[in-house]
Amino acid sequence: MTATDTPPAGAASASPPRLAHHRESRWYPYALIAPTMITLTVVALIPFLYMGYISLHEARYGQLRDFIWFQNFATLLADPRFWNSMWVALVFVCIAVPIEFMLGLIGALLLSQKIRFRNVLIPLLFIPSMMAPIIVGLVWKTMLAGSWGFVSYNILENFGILKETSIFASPDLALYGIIFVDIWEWTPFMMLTFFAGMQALPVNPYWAAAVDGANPVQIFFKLTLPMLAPLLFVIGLLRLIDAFKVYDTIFILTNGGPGTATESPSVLGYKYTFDFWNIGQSSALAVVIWLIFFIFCNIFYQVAKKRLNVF
Amino acid sequence: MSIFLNGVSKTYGGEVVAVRELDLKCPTGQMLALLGPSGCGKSTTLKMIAGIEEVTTGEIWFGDRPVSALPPGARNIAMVFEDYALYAHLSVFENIAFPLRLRHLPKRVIEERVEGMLDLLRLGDIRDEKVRKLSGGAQQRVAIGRALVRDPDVILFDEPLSHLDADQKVQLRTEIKRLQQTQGLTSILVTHDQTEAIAMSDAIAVMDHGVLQQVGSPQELYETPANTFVATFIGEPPMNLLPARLARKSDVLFLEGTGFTLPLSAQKGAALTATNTTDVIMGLRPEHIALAPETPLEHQAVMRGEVFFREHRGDTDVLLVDIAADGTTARVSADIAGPTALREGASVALAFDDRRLSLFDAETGTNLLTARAA
Amino acid sequence: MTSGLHLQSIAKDFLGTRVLHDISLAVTPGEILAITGPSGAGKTTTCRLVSGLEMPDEGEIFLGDTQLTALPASKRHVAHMFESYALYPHLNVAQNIAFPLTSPARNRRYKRADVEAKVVELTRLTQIEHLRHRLPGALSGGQKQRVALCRALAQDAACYLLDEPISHLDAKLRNELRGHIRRRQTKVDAPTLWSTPDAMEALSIGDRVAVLIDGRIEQLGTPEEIYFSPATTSVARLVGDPAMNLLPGAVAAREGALFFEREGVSLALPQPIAKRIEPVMGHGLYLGVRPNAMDIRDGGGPGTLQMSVYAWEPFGKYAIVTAKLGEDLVRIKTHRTERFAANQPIAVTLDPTSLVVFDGTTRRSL
Repeated sequence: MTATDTPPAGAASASPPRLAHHRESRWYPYALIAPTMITLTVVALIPFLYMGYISLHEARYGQLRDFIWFQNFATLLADPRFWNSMWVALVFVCIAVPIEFMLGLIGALLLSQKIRFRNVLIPLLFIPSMMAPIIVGLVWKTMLAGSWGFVSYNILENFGILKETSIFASPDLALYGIIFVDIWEWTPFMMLTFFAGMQALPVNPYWAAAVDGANPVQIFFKLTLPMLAPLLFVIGLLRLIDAFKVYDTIFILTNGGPGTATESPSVLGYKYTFDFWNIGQSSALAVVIWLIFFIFCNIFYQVAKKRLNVF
Repeated sequence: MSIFLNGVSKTYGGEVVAVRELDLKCPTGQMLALLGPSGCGKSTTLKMIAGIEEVTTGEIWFGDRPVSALPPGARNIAMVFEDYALYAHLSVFENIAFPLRLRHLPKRVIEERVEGMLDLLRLGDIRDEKVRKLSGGAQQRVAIGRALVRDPDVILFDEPLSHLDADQKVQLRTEIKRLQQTQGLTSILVTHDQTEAIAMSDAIAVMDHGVLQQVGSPQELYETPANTFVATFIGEPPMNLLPARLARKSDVLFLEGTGFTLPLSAQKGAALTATNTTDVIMGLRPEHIALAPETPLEHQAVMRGEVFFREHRGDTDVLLVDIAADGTTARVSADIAGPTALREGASVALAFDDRRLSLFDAETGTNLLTARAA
Repeated sequence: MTSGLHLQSIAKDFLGTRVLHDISLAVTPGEILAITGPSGAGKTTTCRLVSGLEMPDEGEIFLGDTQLTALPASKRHVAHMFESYALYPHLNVAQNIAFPLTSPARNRRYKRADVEAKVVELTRLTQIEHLRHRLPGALSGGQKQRVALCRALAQDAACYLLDEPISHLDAKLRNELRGHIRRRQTKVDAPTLWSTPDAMEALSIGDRVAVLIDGRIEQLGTPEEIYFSPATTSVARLVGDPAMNLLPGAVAAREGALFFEREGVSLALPQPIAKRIEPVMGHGLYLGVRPNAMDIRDGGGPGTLQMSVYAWEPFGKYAIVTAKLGEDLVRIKTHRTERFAANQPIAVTLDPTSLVVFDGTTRRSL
């Protein structure tokens, strides 16, 4: 008897069955990824390409008419409301994200200390990001509503910051109100993410630094921050993109008003489509936003790759 | 700077005792190894010396300075970790410079001292590399550089070799030993590997379940282990422990075990007069067993058995031999000059004498030949 | 009709880099072939090629007359123990071990009692009988490794692949298990491949040993051949505890004899070696000296080498003295028990009969 004529039973226990057999078929890997690729194509790629197609057409009231090259883009760039929306997005991102980032980092450091009731606190911190943005908007709209809102009545009015009207009715303050709500909504999320990141850092370098006589400030800036950098970078980038696209909070709080004071690109796109029924125009806007992200992300990625040794 | 531990204990939550009433001393310029299996309390002890863990009761002194209440940064110690604990985002140079930068020393001084370390540890060629790209051995050398650069009073090694490949282990072991001796470093080494402890340290403290079992020079521990735990923990391959009986026949004390009877010398007999136990454990080191000559010498006992496994060690062969007699089987390992042609299944006769064997109490496991009469 | 496992000129690329070059091996049923080499040498890849988890880019693998490379992994009837254990986290220890026996993909049915008996036997052998109802998550690394080993040995396979099977166990258990596994595997009618980074383990466990370095077989032979006549300097550097010392130098002929020469050293070579060196006269060479083929002598004298102590490590039964010879470090295994201080000068004698010479350029043994 040799091993060949009657191969004994019981073999190759831990190998996924039928793996190598199908590997010999060249199409097997493609068959495996096909469902995902088809789904992605149908729900993402085709609509995206179709959007590009529409943006080159005169398309109003649900009808695709003449091919007009880049005329929609020209109109868009000439529209002061477009530039206004870019400015709104810029102000929003540049104020909200850094504040959320800093508060998140400080919060995470506090959470890392041995504080009491941490186990109660952490689930509570999930609440803002778990709530639907529409609800968040409604809650704050009520709390900051003119002379009867809980917060505006008790705080803002008493200190004379605001009289009679809602903060969201003031062209000067509405955007800051929205920024405030966004910070309220997202800071706890940043805090928890950074906290989780800190918990995953190796403990021995901290001991080494303690033995070396480093003080808490040195430990934070020379150890925690550099070791956390890749995570900070990724979370920061995601939040940046997300903030740029802000829509639902604004929609419920001000719908872009007063006037165009809080009209972000997403809100403007909505209005192009459903208020003016100009789908060609809104498609062009979407393409421009996509281009901005594309360029921005690439630059960010290159910088990160060089400076942080991530990816 | 010598280190003293006086009755140091560590308990967690008032119940779990990690270290119990530990008294230790490490003289200036020497290396003391804390040796034991995982969970024996050696790492906790090291952390208490470092100040990362607080002492529950007892005191730690560095020279004439009590340090138990000081934070780690104020003790002037340095530590080398199992996983190197380097700052992955910094270069070799910057890692070593790190403790100096924390102290805001002048740039020129930092440069000078780090360069000195790079020379000492032969890291000059890779001074600007990011540490995560280096081999384990090189990373650990960087960690040692970071520890030494500050000229600490005490340097603590926490399993410094356990993540390294075999050849790097041997190299770095030698390297650390030389540094420790030539620089006169007072150091404590925590390890679970007896080879490392023996090769590197001046004295070894063997611990088990938070209790000190024996402390002494490697040679003392090798020759006169205090109990069966130390006996099997020190020495490679480990000491054979075989159940045996003491029997007195016409003034001569005999040791009877599985497949052998050995008359004990008068000297050994005298050392055993204080004991009235008959059930003992015979401790016999594999390297003190030889293949039996045709006619065994006087005072030699012979065990016959069958080879279970032959381990190739280059210049020696370690034979695992099954000795069957009186319905029981004992497995004995013998480290004999090799290579031999003996393979599994071969019949062998092993010879040993009483000069280098140890005898332990079968119940308590303490060494009957060295234990003070109670 | 051939029997056993045959690897014929196997090559494997990963991402355009060749990781295995021209690997040819034959293992007969009942034989244990140990594969040893540094990490990254290709030991694990070789095992994965045999079990079918990787496909070779060149060459064929046969098991008896069956061409394995044409079969999927599940049809090869190979028992593969993974270095990473690969236990099923949702099954307890006993279920993990029994899994390959009870899996519906098998073409033979085992009685429940037989499976139970196998599990008991193997867990007892590996001293994890008391853990049979634990889940892998509750086990230490060494315990997991033993479960994986049991799972591989439980099978009636056509070929056994054991990838670093006992590396995480303590020395005593490791020795016992080597004995037990050798007994089992030399009795089964199937070849066994045993991969380990520990060269001394390979020499102990293998009927023959293949030394794999950088994806090439540097040497294939019996344990004695590997230990006494390493084929290359790379093999020499790997084998022994501690490994062989390699001293670079040159050969010179004087007064009818051959001398090994390097800065401050002139050593007469014994006749049998001298013969073999003749073809490379004038080239550089490496002199291989085992640590136990040297000893430290009081005072100097002709034929001794002058060195200075670099470090001294006493092990009880012997001591290892690391000494500096010029710029090279040499390890000496001595039975002398006295203390050697750093930088102390010593005189070292060599046992000329156990010297090995390597060509300085090809680094092959002469």
